[in-house]
Amino acid sequence: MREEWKMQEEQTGQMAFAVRKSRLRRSLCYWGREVLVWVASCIAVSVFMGMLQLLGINTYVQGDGVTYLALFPMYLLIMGTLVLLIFGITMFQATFPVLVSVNVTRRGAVCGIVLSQGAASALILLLAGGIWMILPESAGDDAVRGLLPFFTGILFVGVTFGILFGVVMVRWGKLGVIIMMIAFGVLGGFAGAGFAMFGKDSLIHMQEFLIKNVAEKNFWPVAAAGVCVYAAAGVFAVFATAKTEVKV
Amino acid sequence: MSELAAKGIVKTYGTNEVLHQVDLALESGKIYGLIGRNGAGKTTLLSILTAQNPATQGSVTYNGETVWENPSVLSHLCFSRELNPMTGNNANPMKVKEYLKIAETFFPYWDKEMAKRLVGEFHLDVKKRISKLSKGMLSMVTIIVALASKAEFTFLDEPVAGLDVVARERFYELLVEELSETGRTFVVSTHIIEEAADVFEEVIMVDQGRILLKENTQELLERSYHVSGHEDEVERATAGLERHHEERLGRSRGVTVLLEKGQKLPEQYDVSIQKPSLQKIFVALCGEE
Repeated sequence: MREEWKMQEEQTGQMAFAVRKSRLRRSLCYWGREVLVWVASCIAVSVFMGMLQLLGINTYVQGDGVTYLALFPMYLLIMGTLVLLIFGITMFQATFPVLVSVNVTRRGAVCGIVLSQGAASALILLLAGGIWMILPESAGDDAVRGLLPFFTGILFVGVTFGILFGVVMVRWGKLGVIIMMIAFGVLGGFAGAGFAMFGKDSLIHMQEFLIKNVAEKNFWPVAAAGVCVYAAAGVFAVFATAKTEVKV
Repeated sequence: MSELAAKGIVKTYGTNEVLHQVDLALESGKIYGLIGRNGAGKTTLLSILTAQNPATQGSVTYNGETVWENPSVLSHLCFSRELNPMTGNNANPMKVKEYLKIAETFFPYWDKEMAKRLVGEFHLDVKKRISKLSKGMLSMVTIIVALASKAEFTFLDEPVAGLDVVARERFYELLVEELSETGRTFVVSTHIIEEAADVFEEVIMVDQGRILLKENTQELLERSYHVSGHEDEVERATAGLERHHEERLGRSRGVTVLLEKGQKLPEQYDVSIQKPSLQKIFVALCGEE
């Protein structure tokens, strides 16, 4: 009889282990898919924006694909920041309650969102850096050395905003929506003013300015600061959503 | 034999206490009916039992282990309720197939074949957005997730709201089939009491945030009587008994009585004695303002 009980306990333990292992594998598959969808969306939006810009810069595009290739990482990084910010908000607003309703813990859901946003950011940075590295001109090396750390910081700050806005909406509901609308109004105002002042070639001017004046400076502290605020936002998100009621 | 137990559950929203010291123990292998008036606290109770909602006080345990934020325990539970067509101020952008995919990913015992079969049986268009579904289709999604989750304790919040009578009958058949095949526990909250009464092994009545009774359905029906006749005769026949929901029409009177163990209705009085339905018992117990 004791042996039978022992066998039953072992079987139950093995089943529990199998369930845990299966849960981890399924979680990784799910979040991996989400990361790939986000990165693909960033690339698609960047290509589209790049094509629009290309059609407007007749004086620069004379069968020279290198120019477009040099610009593309900029589009990818800027659009990537915006796209991941929006995805972050959407994940918290729409997906977080669904995940908790299918028995993912709140901590698990938030960690999944935050870490996968980080993974998507890393992939975008790798892609942008990789493109700059394959550029034939020496500007490629300068861009990677100078701009990539700078944009790492910007990208992770953008992702942080997405996490914070998302958490505010989950935690404070309609008040969160109002806060977000005001914040976006202010940010949109700055961006609109920038484009109005510098015109359609603003992106090229910005890249030239950054390469000439910024690239030689050390922006690794900016990158580090961006990653730190992202990590802090992740921790805040875990604590802020720890006791959230979800209604799907 | 597993047990899901709630002890001392209190839930407040601001200054409004919606659940008052609720104690409840659910055993495996039964279909429980959870009935109560609108605003009684049924959905709040179900959401607390399944860790969708934190209790202000009290605890919920599964075989002694805390349910809250415990992935190994949560894998034995499923709370399926009608999806909200809106997320915040916007229409819910998710499609049915995306929702079912997430359910398939995170419910560890998900039966994909069963889900596919039920989608076909209910003629559900999985490519439709949740915001575009009718009330009946939303109920179908609730039922599919609940049944295909294969969770040991499955809670359904008004799963038949919006379903036509044929679909409701089919749902009850599926519930009983699933119980007999797997021994799962189902807790079903519903307002359509009479239809579901035959399916409920035990009934839990919630009234104003408290559990009014939790009892075997057959035993409750056996000890309940509706006594009617001349008011004086009814008064004498039901003296000393627990009387509920008194009805008066001129000098006629009718009351519902619940007999305790050992009590009997006297037979010498000129009154009409009938067996009330579960719905009538519910109205008698919870209908007083």
